[in-house]
Amino acid sequence: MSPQQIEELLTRELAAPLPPDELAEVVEGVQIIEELAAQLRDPALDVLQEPVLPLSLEDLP
Amino acid sequence: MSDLTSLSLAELAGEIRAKRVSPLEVTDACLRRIEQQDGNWNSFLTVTADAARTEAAARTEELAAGRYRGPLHGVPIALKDLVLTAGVRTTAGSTILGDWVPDRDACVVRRLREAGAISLGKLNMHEFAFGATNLNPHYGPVRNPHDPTRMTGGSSGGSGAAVAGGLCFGALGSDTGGSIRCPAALCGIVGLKPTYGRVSRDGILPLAWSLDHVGPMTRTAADAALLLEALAGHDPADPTSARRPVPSYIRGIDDGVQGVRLGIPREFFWHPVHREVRSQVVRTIELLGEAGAEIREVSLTTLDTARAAQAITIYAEAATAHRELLRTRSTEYGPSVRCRFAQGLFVSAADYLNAQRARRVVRQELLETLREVDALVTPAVPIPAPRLDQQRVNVDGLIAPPQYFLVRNNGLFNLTGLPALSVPCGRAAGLPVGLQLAGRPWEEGLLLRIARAVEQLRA
Repeated sequence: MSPQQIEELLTRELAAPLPPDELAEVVEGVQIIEELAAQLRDPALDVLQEPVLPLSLEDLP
Repeated sequence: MSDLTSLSLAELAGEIRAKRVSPLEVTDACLRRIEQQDGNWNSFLTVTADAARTEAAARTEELAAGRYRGPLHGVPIALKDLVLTAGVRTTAGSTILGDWVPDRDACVVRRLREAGAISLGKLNMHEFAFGATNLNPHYGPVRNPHDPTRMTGGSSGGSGAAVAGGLCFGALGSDTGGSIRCPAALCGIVGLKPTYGRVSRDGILPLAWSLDHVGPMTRTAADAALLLEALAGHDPADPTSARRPVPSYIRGIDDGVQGVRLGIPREFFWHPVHREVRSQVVRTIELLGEAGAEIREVSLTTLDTARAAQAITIYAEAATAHRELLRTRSTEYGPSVRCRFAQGLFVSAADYLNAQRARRVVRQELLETLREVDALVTPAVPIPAPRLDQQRVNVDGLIAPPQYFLVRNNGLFNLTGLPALSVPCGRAAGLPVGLQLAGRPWEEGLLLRIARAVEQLRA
């Protein structure tokens, strides 16, 4: 996602624009999140074969 | 600390039951100590002195009339300021909720009151619990009682400082990625994140629904056991609350570690780690081995996946929880927390769901490992408490902001819902070090028993 796209979405989602230093921090943070998300898309992990986690631990044997 | 405020919760309970100390006397001692000392630490946001004295007087009269509620009868405690309290403001460390006075108590508050505990007030925290430095831009930083130039860790930093400083005998914290265990480690106390579902979150302001836990922070493992017994149990108001019966956590706590199998993960937790933190944790593991525990190395292959899934989950859920507030009042957040919430707006639904799938893979690996060992042992926090003004920490050649290190070793057990605690195990650079123990679902009792052994071995 480009810095411009990030700024556009933030314009819709925040009550006021972020100051430039905070915008830069968010852009950097979004890049990190994208890298982490990409790790989870690694086919080697095979996570796409797994169902979504149920919240309760009570069903465990 | 005065003699009275330096007692453990369990010791105080014995004194109250024997009527050598009254609830009113110990409550007054705590309130005096808060007045004298908390200017140094900034752990309380609201002190409810009048309500505490009224409650303490009622508990004192009950005792005189022969009614004893149990080990929390007349014991002064305090609450992280995201726990709803009827008639007492609940800020979550924010100015957005700076004047908010809930009209009801959280389930855990009702349970503590029914058990006879006396609330002294509400504790400072990282704004909205979304961070681990406890550098609160609105109410000021919480300072570590072991060195007021140092951080407490967070987000339950007020709870850590108040307990470590002898201002109360126990406190409630919440833990979404390490927010109980991190300040417990840095402040030199015990902090327990129970199994997901063990303690109700009804009336706890959420950060991330599927990761949030509530738990006790105390000066000893036995104290944590006593608090957990009062807190745990099914609550129909929390749909994730478990129906399992609550065992006695204090019974058997002194049984030691003979034959207990402890797994030491080879990966992730040991690099980066401050040299002295590593040596203290390793020494404690050796002592546990000498005391009869069976020490085994274990391999966990999904830890990098876990870290990614934890981050994706917490950012997405936190941004969702705050979406309406961000749209209307984003200017009232502190800068660093505002940035963090804003980042969460960019997690896609597909990536969030992928993280939940990964979560199952990670949990499965941990549960399989916990068939071979009874508990996992790691450093709770890889560094000693950073200075309040410290911008970067250099450990093992890795240079990063304090936040990077503070909860690095904790989030795995939020993601998987497994119980985990931090117990003090020596000092590094003159500051407390925490040992993290994690175990099978619902086995908080075993973790507390191991923690009790650590306390005895490191005494």
